[in-house]
Amino acid sequence: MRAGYATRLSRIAPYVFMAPAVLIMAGALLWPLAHSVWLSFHEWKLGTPQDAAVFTGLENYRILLGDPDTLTSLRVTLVFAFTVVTLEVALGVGLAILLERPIRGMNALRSIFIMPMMIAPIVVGLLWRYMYNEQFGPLAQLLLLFGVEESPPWLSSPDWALASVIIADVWQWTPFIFILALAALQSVPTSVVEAARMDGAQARQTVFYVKLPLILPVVIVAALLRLIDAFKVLEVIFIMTEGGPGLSTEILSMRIYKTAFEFQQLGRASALSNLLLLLVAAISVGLVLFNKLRERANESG
Amino acid sequence: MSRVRLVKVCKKFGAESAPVVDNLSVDMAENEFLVLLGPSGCGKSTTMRMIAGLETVSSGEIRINGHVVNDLEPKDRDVAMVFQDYALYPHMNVARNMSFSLRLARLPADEIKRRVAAAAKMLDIEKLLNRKPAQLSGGQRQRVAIGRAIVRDAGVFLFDEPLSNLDARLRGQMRDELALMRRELKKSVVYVTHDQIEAMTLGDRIVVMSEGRVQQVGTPEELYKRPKNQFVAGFIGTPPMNFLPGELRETERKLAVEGDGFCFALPGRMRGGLNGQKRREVVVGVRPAAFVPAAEGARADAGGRLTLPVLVSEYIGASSIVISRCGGRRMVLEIRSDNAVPAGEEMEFFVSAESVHLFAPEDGQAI
Repeated sequence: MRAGYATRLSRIAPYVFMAPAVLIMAGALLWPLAHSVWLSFHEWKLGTPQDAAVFTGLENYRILLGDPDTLTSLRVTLVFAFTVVTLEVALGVGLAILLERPIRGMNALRSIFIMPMMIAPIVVGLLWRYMYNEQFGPLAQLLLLFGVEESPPWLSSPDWALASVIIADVWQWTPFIFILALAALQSVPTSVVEAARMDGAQARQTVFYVKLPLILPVVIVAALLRLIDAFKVLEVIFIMTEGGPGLSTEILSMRIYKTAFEFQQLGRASALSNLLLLLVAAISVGLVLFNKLRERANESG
Repeated sequence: MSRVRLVKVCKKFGAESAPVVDNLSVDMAENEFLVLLGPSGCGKSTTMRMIAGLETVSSGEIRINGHVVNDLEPKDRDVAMVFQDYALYPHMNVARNMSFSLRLARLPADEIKRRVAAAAKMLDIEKLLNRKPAQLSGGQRQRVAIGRAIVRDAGVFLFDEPLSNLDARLRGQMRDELALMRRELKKSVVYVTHDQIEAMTLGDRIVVMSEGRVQQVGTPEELYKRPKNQFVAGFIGTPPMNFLPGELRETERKLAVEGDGFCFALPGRMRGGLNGQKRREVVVGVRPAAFVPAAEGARADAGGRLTLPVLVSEYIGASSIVISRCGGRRMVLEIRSDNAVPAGEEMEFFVSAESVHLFAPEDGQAI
């Protein structure tokens, strides 16, 4: 009898222990998600009671997908996300390779490189808005030193604004790739690098044929995390440009914010955020699958 | 064809620190299998890394094939190295691991293929060519590491404790295979190890090192039979040599060494050790196997006879290890198991005069 009781207990124990976490996840994640799906099928103005929400079916999605501004926003988001991740990976991995070797003062230098990541995004936004200030900003002052009297319209021209916010994001998040790549590089066994040297590999060849392939799995995961984050970025752009000028920096999350809180169309904002979720999920799953295939191809030869 | 010569080589890490390798000179013969042997921290690995070019030389010269290679890159030194942890490229399969150096050197594809195939055949790893290192056993990785060195066709092979990561059985097997392979390869080999059995079985000559200095260079037999100092005597041979304090003296034209519980007569030619004095303090060294039980019959050259208590008797097959005590010192003897007596009893031994080693107590040098 007792043995049966113990067996039964040990069978349900895992579920008992997991229950709190599952409940919290359900409350904090699944409920809002379900609510947002429900909301996306309704028209509901901010500030009115929830009873006033009118069921409209797929109307919100139809309007969104037919709206050229949504497509512009989508394009801006894709350009922004892929550009920042590409630059951050290139710079982060490059810096990690340069700063891997033991040089005096390297620890201090590494700490400085990591600082931008520690700053709250809102502050980063403010910081760069100041940097880009066309009259008093440090960049304008710097250009003045070189005799450039008229500062480029960093944030005030549709042609410049996207590049400017991309620079700010790259400045903040390159350190993320940097520290992960550095940690991965330091886990490459010294003897493998020495073996490459014995085999006649130059420093550059060691990097490309030995070090980079060995840290690639880590870099891919880091890039994937950054990509997911880049699709959802809001604060920095909100502070710097609010999506402008025009729609030049209006990424999807910015548009969702405006739809919800400026145009007060909660249903449509929900529909748009669901679309963004699908997009991020699709890209992530695609990359994970690609990575799996790459590894499998690697294993078989 | 290829030979390595070290001339007064020193290595210091930091200007102030004590040298890790101190004034080391060794001249290797052609196609010689030279073993650097010593306890950990004796500078043997550093010496090898300097030959390889992975470590700079603080002073002195390293010559390979007559050329000073101090400032040459590893690849330009005509050396190939097998690392202790194999250091295979984890992302490349066996064939690509082995061909990496050849691909870097831009050899024609068919030549690369030919060399890899030849090395794989020799090492019996042809079926593994498409595997990744993670899919190989320790012994297989070891072979691939050796294969990677072979394909380079360098004149000098450097082995850095290549067998220390293998289990005991495999280590013995690989040791034999290395011995076979080196005969086939006809290359100069520098082999670093702390294992004196490996050193004795593989080496043409052995360089025994301690604290950065060469203690003795010689064939395994020379080191075993005529150790130059107490360090070499104690390091070579298992179980290690027994050391007892004693006094060397000459009475009535007879030379003898005497200590607490023993007295050995010595041949007259060892008289020189007295330096003209009447008596002298010495350290007496006797190998465990030099004790012959009296039951085996008296020997004509017997230098002495002594009775020792058997404290522990360890049966290990054909022979037994006897732990005993003489003059308050622990002694280890090795005898044929047929003659072993149980612990607690006493046993009588002969010690041949030829197997008694004498060392100066001041500096440990052989007398």
